[in-house]
Amino acid sequence: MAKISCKYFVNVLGATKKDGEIVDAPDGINVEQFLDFMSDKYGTEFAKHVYATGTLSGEPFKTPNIYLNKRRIQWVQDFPEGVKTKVKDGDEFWFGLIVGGGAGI
Amino acid sequence: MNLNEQEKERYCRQMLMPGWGEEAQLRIKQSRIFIAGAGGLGSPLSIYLAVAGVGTLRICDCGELELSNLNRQILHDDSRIGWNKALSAKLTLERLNPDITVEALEEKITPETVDGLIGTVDLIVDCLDNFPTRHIINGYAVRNGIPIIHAGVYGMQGQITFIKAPETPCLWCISAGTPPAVFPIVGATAGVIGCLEALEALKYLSGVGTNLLNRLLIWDGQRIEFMELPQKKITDCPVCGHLNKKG
Repeated sequence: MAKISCKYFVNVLGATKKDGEIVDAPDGINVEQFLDFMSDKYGTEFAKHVYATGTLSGEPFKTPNIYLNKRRIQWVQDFPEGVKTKVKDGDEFWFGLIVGGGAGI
Repeated sequence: MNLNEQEKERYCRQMLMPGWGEEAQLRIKQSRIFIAGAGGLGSPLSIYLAVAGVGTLRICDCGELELSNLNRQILHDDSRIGWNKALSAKLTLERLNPDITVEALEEKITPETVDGLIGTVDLIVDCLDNFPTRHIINGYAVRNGIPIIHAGVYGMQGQITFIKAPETPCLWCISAGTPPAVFPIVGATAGVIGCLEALEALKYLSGVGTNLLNRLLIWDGQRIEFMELPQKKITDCPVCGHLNKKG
């Protein structure tokens, strides 16, 4: 098992009921599989915040809403394999950094 | 344009800041800022920009004030329930500082209205609560080379960064999600982050200090802790990627 440090922000706090923990993850899994693992652990309230979805210029998008070792998984310079990047013992994930604001206009 | 004697007295304490003086204060007076939202973040932000002497504030909000807004939206009060928030903001801000101009814009920001609403400004400040509208103003800012101060809050947590594409990632590079429509918020959290937005704006306009470029500052009020994440461009960003190719 790999020891993964997880930190939870904003909307995912409602699902985890804590702001951080060390999670034992199966060896050899990649980021995508780890997100599925965490979604199974905390259920649909957590899962709906793991990926950001929407449309831009009419085109749908779906992108992981996480940081791995303080870097966005979308940064190809850091993660050329993206969500297929292998998760390692000691990795740190931050979940739920998209936050609200002040005015719904 | 010069500072009159009343303005010199009103702003004398901030003009004492090293590097500020009358010259920076005049730049602030000549500045125009677009504020997207007169709610929880827009309240402290606009109050501090008004009293600091920003010449023109264009404040945009199509929403009407509700009682449930008043735990955080300190521009407004009970007597204005049902008012348009931009109009309420204008009244409050012009009372706080009669030497500035406040333009109240009551229209909704959409892809069709964004050009006319924002127009020519020195800076855009994001005080919104939804990412679809944030991405509309982000697109406008990238197209027109205007910096944005982005911030958001949730509960006792918040985040802020200074966006100046292509020098920094654009908002799309940083965040592409959609938070829930109704979320918990402690008013003081909006106060912390809104004040930081005001400080970032005044630093940019005055030229004093450095902005939060390529850095996302995160506030955790439950722990009283600031954290920071570096920010990078997404190479194939659909909004600002073309600027990177030019560079």
